[in-house]
Amino acid sequence: MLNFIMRKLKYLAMLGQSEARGLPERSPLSPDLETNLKLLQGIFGVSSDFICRRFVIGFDDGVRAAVVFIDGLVDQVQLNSAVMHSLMAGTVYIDKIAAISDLIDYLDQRVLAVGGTVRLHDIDAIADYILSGGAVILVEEGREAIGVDMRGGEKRAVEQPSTEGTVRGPREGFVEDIRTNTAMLRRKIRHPGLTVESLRIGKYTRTEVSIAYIKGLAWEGLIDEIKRRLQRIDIDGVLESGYLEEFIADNPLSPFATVGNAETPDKVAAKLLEGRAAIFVDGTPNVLTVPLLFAESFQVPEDYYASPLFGSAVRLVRYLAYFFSLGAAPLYIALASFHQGLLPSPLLISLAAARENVPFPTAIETTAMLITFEILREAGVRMPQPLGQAVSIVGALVLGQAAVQAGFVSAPVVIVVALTAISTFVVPPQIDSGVIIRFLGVALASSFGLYGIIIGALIVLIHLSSLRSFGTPYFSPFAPLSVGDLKDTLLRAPLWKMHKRPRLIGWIDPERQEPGKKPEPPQRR
Amino acid sequence: MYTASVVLRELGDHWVTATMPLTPLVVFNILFVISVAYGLYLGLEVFARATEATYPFFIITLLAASLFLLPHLNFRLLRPVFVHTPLEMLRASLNIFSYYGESIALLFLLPSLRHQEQASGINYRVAIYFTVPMLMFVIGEITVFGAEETSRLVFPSFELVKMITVAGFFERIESFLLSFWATTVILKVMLLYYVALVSFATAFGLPDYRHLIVPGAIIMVPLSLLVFADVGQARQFLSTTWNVFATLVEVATPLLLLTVAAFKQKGRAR
Repeated sequence: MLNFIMRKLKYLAMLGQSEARGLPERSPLSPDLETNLKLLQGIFGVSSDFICRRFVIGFDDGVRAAVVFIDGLVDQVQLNSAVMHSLMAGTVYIDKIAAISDLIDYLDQRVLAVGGTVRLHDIDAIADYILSGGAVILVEEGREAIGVDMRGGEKRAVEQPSTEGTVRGPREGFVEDIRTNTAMLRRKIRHPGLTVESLRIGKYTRTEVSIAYIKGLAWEGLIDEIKRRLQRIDIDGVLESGYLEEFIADNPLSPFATVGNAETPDKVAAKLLEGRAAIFVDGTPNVLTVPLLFAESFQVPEDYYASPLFGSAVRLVRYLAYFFSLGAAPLYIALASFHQGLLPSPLLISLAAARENVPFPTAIETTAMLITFEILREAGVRMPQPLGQAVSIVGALVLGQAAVQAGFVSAPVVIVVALTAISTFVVPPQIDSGVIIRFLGVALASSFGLYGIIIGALIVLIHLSSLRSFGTPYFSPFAPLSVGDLKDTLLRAPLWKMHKRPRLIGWIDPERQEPGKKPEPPQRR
Repeated sequence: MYTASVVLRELGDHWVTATMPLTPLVVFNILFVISVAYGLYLGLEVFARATEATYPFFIITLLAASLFLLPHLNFRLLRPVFVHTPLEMLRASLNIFSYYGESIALLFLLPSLRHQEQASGINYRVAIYFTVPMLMFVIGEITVFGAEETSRLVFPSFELVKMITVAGFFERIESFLLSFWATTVILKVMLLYYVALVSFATAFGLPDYRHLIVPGAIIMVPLSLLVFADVGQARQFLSTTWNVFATLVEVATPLLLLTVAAFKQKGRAR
């Protein structure tokens, strides 16, 4: 009985759902131009930026027509010269225009001097098209309408991204416009294999989202999985790629991001060449790359532009800095409050001298300073640019020096927190996860000392090993160990040595190039 | 019969678990068990990977420790070899055997291997990986302290690392070694706990061992506290009762299972 009721309820729920999700009714174009325009006007209501320009094609026996578009989304200059001019001035000399049996075909093939046109069959498609920045030409008695790609309007110029700076290498960064971004990528990879597939996400924003990958390098299963996850998304709007990230991540509640984030085309191109896929979202310069590995946080495009020796050294520095950013504060707390015996005596004495007048226990002192640092950081980001200096002065002088001089905080703590802070920024992709783990570590260290740190480290390690990013173990090449891939993790091997793509990602076509391409001077004869 | 043996095995694992915690403090043990349980919850694959990731660290520490100990080594201390009667040596090796016998637990992981046919090779490799570091440490201990002293110390390897001094600055790094030791022990307990739970689950036909994690943890914590009162008792226990008990479990259980399997097959053959 209960079962029956449950089934009934489920059935009802399903009915309701399908009703709610049912597609909007398609209203086909009517032969009457005015009816169509009225319908469109009805959809857009009183919006003042919806423009409907009526005109006549031809001269004597002209046919009434109209161009509809949204002001600001289209490139006005181009629209005027390519569409309006050719339609109004260009058709004047055509005789008997009304007699042409298929006017739409005629216009499309002979009159319109524009690159991209599409045929649209119903009112909703027209509305959709002009919302994405096209202009649509409607003709009296026409069974179809012609959509003209006129995307334009204001956009930011390509400039160097503020987050991913380089000394050597390309300086261009992505902008908000998705077409510009995909074009930048195409300019890097001039191969027909580079595929850009698009879909729209967001009930209201209908944001264009593109999946880019190189056919033959990226595994089809990965692309299918990305598509499946993206198609599952059903939200109001996508304002930034972070919205999607949250929906497609394997473990969204983990402090570690399992979806990568890039702002420069060279980085995305490099990822695609390894067999990954990128997800472009219209309206944001942040492009997602999947799958993401933990080791990627420590890779920077510049590693590959500089010499391998230097690149490797910098890699090691980054790993060290990451360790410091997580471990410095907990280790200091553990050493200073539990394991003083571990410190060499002279160091211990100077430490004790510095801590002499401080009224707080080390744990509280360190935690307070760490929190202060987080506040400063947040203030620095949110603050209007000109005020940034004020923040740094307040931070450095008042909170640092004055606090030490007043004896609230000991100098070693300031050093430790400063080290933590600086190290944090060495590995930008892990800043967010670092904050959480650091405070966890501080809490464990202040209650259990080194033992707590070890437990914490192990939990983090276990967590890392449990993560997956689109099926790829997040912590590989370390675990599961894949020795061949290690040459691009802790160190950066010379390019002629890295003749294989990462094993777990680029296995579709594992060979990058022939091995043994080490450059050698010609033999003397 | 199978069930009984598994329960015995399970009990044995708990003994092992219980002997491990660093401090008898209940909080420490709870923390310990929590991390173990977390690893278990995520599954075999995950904590196997975690182990894989820690192994290089472990080896590096070990090598570093041995390297720094080189000046202290005195190989003459090894010298009186084969002075004892064979029987005495056999008895002594029983002690060691009970420890190495713990690797029996690894047999329980074999069904999860992807390439079944490599199983025996893996077993041998595991045994080698197990033994070489241990052997290194035992040799180190004896060459530094001498046999008499080593047998008297409670934690000889711990004392050993205490001897390390690097450039007059890095003294007393034993705490770090202790930390690594704790890590490996956690992973080991994880393994034993996993084996226990899985065998329990199989014995009682439970679909997923994860349901047993919490009850297991609840048993484990008090048990670990109850096993012995202090280090002295622990030493006594470990060198007398444990040897016999562990060897019995480690040898008898597989034999028992083997017998059962043999009988079952016979029955099926008819």
